[in-house]
Amino acid sequence: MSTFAFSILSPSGKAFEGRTSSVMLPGASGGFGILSGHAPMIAAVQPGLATVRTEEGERFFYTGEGVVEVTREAVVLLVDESKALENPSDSKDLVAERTRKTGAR
Amino acid sequence: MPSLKEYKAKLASLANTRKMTKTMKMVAASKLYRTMDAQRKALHYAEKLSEMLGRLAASVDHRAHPLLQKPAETKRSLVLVVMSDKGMCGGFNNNLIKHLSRWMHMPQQQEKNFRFSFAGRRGWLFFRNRVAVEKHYEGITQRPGPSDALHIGTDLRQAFLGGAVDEVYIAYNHFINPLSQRPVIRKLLPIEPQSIAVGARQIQDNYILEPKQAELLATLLPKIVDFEVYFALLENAAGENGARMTAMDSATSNASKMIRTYTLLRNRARQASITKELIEIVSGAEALKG
Repeated sequence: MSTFAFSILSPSGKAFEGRTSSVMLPGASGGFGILSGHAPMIAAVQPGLATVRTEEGERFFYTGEGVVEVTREAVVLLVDESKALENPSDSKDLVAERTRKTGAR
Repeated sequence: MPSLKEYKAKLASLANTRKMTKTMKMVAASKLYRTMDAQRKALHYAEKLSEMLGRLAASVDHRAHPLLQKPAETKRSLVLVVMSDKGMCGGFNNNLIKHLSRWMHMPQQQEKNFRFSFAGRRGWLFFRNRVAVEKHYEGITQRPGPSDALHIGTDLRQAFLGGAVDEVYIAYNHFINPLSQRPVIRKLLPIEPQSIAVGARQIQDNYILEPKQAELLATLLPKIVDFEVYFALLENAAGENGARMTAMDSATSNASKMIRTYTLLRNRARQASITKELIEIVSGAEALKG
């Protein structure tokens, strides 16, 4: 299966950098996936769970708000916070915490 | 003249002090390196963020965004003061306090009504009874994370967008190197339009944009504010540890100097007591000879 270069960039550094065969991202208007050879795109993402499929298996990240840029060469996810997760369901708590901190007040 | 015993007690306490200041210096040094590392990573993100903003702003009128709108008059200002939680770092906090007090009383600020938010206990402790306090964010200046900045940034943006204040400033110590920090006060909101470097490289037509370009730009613009806050927190943390390192280094050498002085004094006192005892023995023997 063909792979592409993917990185997650946040103020605290690169949460992920490497080759992946697919990523699933929480888009602003619904989740979407990116496969190798995707058309160039800039899309907004909302806080949620990003799933990255690598050769070693699936990896999960909580990502904040930001944008993802897809070019022919690479895919870069630019978000304001990110955290590697063991358990994908943890992302729900982190999203809830974020809403509590930034939500309607 | 103090007795030999008093000198010994004094020397023991000095040795303890020196051990403590030396440890604090080493701890500050290792924290400083960690913060500087975080700063380097943060700059990488900032580069990418401003590149993306520049490209999006190139073909959309970004001046229309509410975060860039100058209010008709600037009467109410909010100032976020970033300082350390703990002392023991020389004049680090005091320099900023002095700078801020001078700035507040400058002629062009006379008309303004100031409110303050604080990150870091030191600033809050000093100003809480002197100025109007909006908010005090506790326990984040030691190890600031992006989510802390997000929290503060959201509050600041809401205050500005909600019309509670007309402008937002941030005051912190700019980290030059471990030996020197310079207090700075910068305007955070409204965002100056020229701070967005409009990129020459436009987005090509074949790009899929989801949502529209203007909305993407609106997603990213607040990120500049959050990032500025995050970076100020990092600068403050780096400066604090740098200043503490320097302060504790001079404290250690001062303690060493005192130890040398007191060792001499102690030896003199010991010699004096020995001489005194000898004189007593000799004069006692003389008296017996009669």
